This record gives sequence, structure tokens and C-alpha cells, in this order.
Amino acid sequence: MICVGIRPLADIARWIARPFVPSHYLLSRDDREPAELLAIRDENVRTRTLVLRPRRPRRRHRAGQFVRVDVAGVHGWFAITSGEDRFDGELEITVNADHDRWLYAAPPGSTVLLGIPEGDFVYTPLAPTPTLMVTGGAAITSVIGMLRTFATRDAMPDVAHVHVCASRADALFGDELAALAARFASYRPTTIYRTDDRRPLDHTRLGELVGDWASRAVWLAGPPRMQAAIAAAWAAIDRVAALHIARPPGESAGGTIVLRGDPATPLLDTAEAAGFAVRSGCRIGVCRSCVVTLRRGVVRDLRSGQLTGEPGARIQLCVTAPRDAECDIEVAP
Amino acid sequence: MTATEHDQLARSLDDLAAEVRRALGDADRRYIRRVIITQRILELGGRAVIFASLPLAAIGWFWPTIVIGTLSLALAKIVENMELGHNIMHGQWDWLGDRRIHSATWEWDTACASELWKQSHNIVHHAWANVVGRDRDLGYDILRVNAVQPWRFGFAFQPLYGIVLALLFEWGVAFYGIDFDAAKRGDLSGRGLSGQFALFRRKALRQLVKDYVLWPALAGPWFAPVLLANLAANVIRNVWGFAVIFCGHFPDGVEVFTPGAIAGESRGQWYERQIRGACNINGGRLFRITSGHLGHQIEHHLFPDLPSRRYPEIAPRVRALCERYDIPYNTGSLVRQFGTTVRTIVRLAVTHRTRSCAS
Repeated sequence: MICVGIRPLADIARWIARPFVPSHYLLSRDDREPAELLAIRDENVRTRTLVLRPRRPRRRHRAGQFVRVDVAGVHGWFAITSGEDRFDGELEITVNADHDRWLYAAPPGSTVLLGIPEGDFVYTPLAPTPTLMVTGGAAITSVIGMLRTFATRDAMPDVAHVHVCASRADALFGDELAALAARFASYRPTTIYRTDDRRPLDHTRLGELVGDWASRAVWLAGPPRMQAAIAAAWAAIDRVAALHIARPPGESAGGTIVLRGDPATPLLDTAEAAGFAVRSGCRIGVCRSCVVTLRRGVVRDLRSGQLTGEPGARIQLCVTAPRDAECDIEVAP
Repeated sequence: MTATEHDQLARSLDDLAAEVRRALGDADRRYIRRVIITQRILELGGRAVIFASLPLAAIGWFWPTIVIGTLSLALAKIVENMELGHNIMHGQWDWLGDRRIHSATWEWDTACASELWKQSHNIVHHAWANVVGRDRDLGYDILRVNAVQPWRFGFAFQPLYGIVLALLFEWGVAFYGIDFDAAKRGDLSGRGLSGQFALFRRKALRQLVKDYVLWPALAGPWFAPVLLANLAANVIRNVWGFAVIFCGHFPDGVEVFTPGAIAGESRGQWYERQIRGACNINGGRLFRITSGHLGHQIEHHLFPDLPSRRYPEIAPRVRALCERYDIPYNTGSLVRQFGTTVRTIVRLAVTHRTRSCAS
């Protein structure tokens, strides 16, 4: 009886709230919506692709973004592997057949909960930009959506792609990458199999594989060690701005939170305004309840004016503010 | 231009954009908020004045009030579409980190669904600007706007289509979001095409219900005057949008390119094409805001995701670069740019000779 009554009311609320949605007014942070698990297909022995269709039409994702998937109380973040331009209302994630078994324990046709696609690991340049993609293992899922999008737009930028994986049996999307290379002269993939070649992927090695690596904008998706090695190579030539790194948003990055605020407002206020439940006490820099670890960004101590920018430093949220407006500050408890 | 000169041009323009991006801050944030608030006041105020015209009819003030209300609503829709919707959906304000003023979430007050617009405009038009056969904005499939397009019988009536398109512009744009070309190429599946149809239908219905059912219904017995005022506001917005947008790429002096000529173009060549393919319109502050800064079409095509209020400030430096590398910088008054556009549409309806691309 209640269900019958609420539906039209919800519709009216949607009309009144337009162009927003009613939940924006309720300040709810739960943006999850049900989606149907349409199909499961094998990619290789260790990976499977899940095709999902949200029950209500929703905004398209950007290739390279992550989405939170909830099944029966368990959740995880996954890179969306389908391209941007499909418009068929479906999206795909490619997952590990062992670790992520919980995802497809239910048969096709069952319902999962999907969050809003998130993350700024997206390909934005319109002007031709020489690009280097570096991917390790399963993290290739973060760039395959971009490559698929370029293909459906029939416009492949100049992309050199270095992919590292354990063995031939583990190579993901191998045939598809080869087909893309055959179709577009400007796409040049190189795959390194760790079974044959164990040399580290440092700047010397990059120089051998991609002669002009230093002048390229980089999209990097791989395990933490690989990220650190590549980031170091780019930091050495002072080109960090050209480096894009795939990181799942929210908690899966080890419980970190990312904040943006203005230089005059304590990060504690910014975090609370953004809806994060942060531990705090005196709010004047005495009790140290709100001490966190700085992971990324530069902050200023509002009392002394002292700047701190090294990852790993312990900072007090209530008396620190970002040095620059509009810059990400990432902190972990 | 030599390859080195193209590289220099690209570097100069990249540095210019990076400099502006570093300087973005509170002044920009205040600007966009102020435009949004002004637009909301104009819209709600306009609708309120339209409603007020009905009781005021008793003292003979019906016409002045309903005209003022309609103009205010039309201005609100113009500012929303041009300075807010178009620019926010380009991602010009994504750096704010505000989910409500973001290309991923903004929905605008026009018939075209934002998701379809971002595809047909941001991707197809901007990446392929003025490339014959790829940039669908080159005549929108129904007009012959450049002599390189071969004449066919249908074009003989194009001055008439132009007038109809101006009046119904939002519907032209909305329908145009459905990418039949991509479906023909095989890059958009059948289900993808019907997905685009569904987006079109949903947004069109919402716009129709909002302006022609819900708001008039709120006026009760005066349903018809409110409906007609809303219709008039939409048509005024359509004609203005049509005029500004047609001045972007069709006035005299604009250049077009063949797909062959741009194959493998460098970053510098891409920038050069964006400059040669776009036209600026001179105007003051009010014109800049009501045109969404599209009077700076050249700067917009170079840096589509740079906040529009910064275009006037970089324009002299872009122009200086054009002079240094001898690239024409096409600018003129609205009368000159729109006049030559209209002349071209009329002339190309009757002259059959096909020109080949200069490049």
C-alpha cells in the first residue's frame, strides 16, 4: 500500500527538484542504484568481464573511472572497462575470477548496487598529445576503456603503450590490443612478460622502449611499486604535471580521503563540510585528536605559517589548511 | 609554416593556457556563482512578472508586464544556455571541485539532452572542427555553408530552412544529438542508437511538460497567456542562439579542411586549424555574457575547457601569435559576421559551383 502511494510522490519531488535530484536536498551520500547483472564472459583463465545495466538510465561514465559495486553487503571499486560512447545503457567491469568471486556468485539476471562512476583518471586532451600509457597486470582495465573509446571515435591519438604482465597466459585483452595496433598506425603497444624479462621498468628501460618517453603525457595504471618507479622517472625530469595515475577513489586507496579547500579554512572544517566523519576534539590545535598522515599536497600550519609537503608527515587537521586553493590534499588516519 | 614553427606555436599556446590555469582562483569562483545567481533571479523573477501581468490586467498593465516578464525569462534562458550550460559542460568549471557546477552533472534548460550534447559538440565538433565530412556542424546536414560542399537540389530552399531552424533552434540541436553518422560507420550499435533516442525523448518531454504544462497550469485559468509567454521566451532564445552560433564558423574568410589534409596533424597544426576555422565577434560585457563568450570563438576553440571569462584577457596574446606566424585572425562586428553568413547561405543556395579546399 505504501509503495503504491510513494511512487507518484517521488516523481513529483523529482519534477520539483529538477535539474537536481531530491537526494541532493537530503544531503544523502548514498548514490547507489540497482543494476542488473546481464552477462558474464571469460577474458582469460583468471579474469572475467561482467556486463551490468543500471535499472534507471544514468549519466555516462568517463573511460578510466572507477565504480563502486555492492553485492550482499560486500563491496569493491572496479575500473570501468567499456568505452564512453556506447549509449546502450550498459557498462562493463573486468574482474579477477578468484578474488572477486563474490561479485558473480549470483547468476546473471540478479541485482547489484552501483555507485556513481568516480575518479579523475580520464583522457581529456582534444589537441593531439603524444601519449604514453604504462600498465601493469590487471590494472590495464583502467586504460582499455580509453582505447575502446578512441576506436569508436575512429580517432586514435599518438599512443605508445607499455604493458607489463606475468606471463602469456595472464595477458589481458591481448588480441584486442593487437587488432587496435593493426587498425591504427598511431597506436604502438609493447608487452613485457615477466617470465621472459625481469629487468626493472626504470627510465633507462623506458628510453629503450619508447625513445621520446620524456616528452609524452603519461597515463599510468599498475601496482604500487610500478607507480613509484615510473613516478620517480618523471619526477627526475621535473614533469610530474604530465603524469596521470589511476587510483580507485575513497576507501580502497587504504582509507585515505581527498580534500579541496581554501587556504584560510582549516582542513577539519573542509572535511566535515564534505561529509567525512573525522575524529576531532578541541579544534584549536591542543588535544591532537585530529592528527592524520599527509599523503599528497602541501599544507600550511595556520598558527606558525609553516609549510609541510612531504608525504608521511603527521598533521593536525584543525590548525592546517591547504597552501593553494583547488589543490588535492590527501590524508590517511 | 615549418614543423619547427608549428612546435613553437603549440608551445606558446600551451604555456599561455598553463599560465591562465595557474591563475584561476577566487575571482573566477565568485564570477560563476554570481552568473548563476543572476540567472536564477532573472528566471524566477521573469516567471513571477509573467504571472503578475494577469491580475494587473485589471488596471490595464497587462502588456507591459507580460512583455517585461517574457524578456526576463528569455534573457535567463540565454544566459543559462550560453554562459552556463555550454561552458560548464565543456568542463570549464570542473576545477572548482563543486559537483553542482560540473560537466558531469549539469543539465541545461533546452531541449537537447546534456549527454547527447557533450558527445555531438564537445567531441565530434571540437575535435573535427571544420573538417568536411567529419564536422557535422558544417551545415548541420541540411545547409550548404561552404562552397566545398557539393550543391544538391534540397539546398535551393536553404534560406527558408535557415529561418525555420532559427525559430526552432533548440529542437534542431536536440535532434542533431542523435549520431546517425556514427551508426552508419558501425561505431554506434543499434542499441546505442536507440539509447540516444531514449535520451532525446526523455529530455524533450521534460522540457515540454515544464514550459507548456506545469508552469501554465500553476496560473490556473490563465493557462494560455503563460504558455504563450514561455513559448515566446524560448523562441527569442532560439533566434539569439542561432545568430551567435552561426557566426562562429560560417562568416566570410573561414577555412575548411579535408580529412586527408589533417591526417597525422601535429599539435601546432591542430591549433592552427582551430584558429583558421573560427570567427570572433566584437562586443561589450553584456554581449560577452549573453553569447557565452562565443564572440571569442577562436580562443574557445583553442582552449574549450578554459573558463570563458578568461578569453578576453588572452585574446590579445593569441592575436599577437597569429600575427607572428601569419595566420588570419577573423574578427568583426555581429552585423558583419552575421551579414556575411546570411549572404553565404543565400548565395550557395543558387550558385552550383563546387570549390575545392584551399589546404
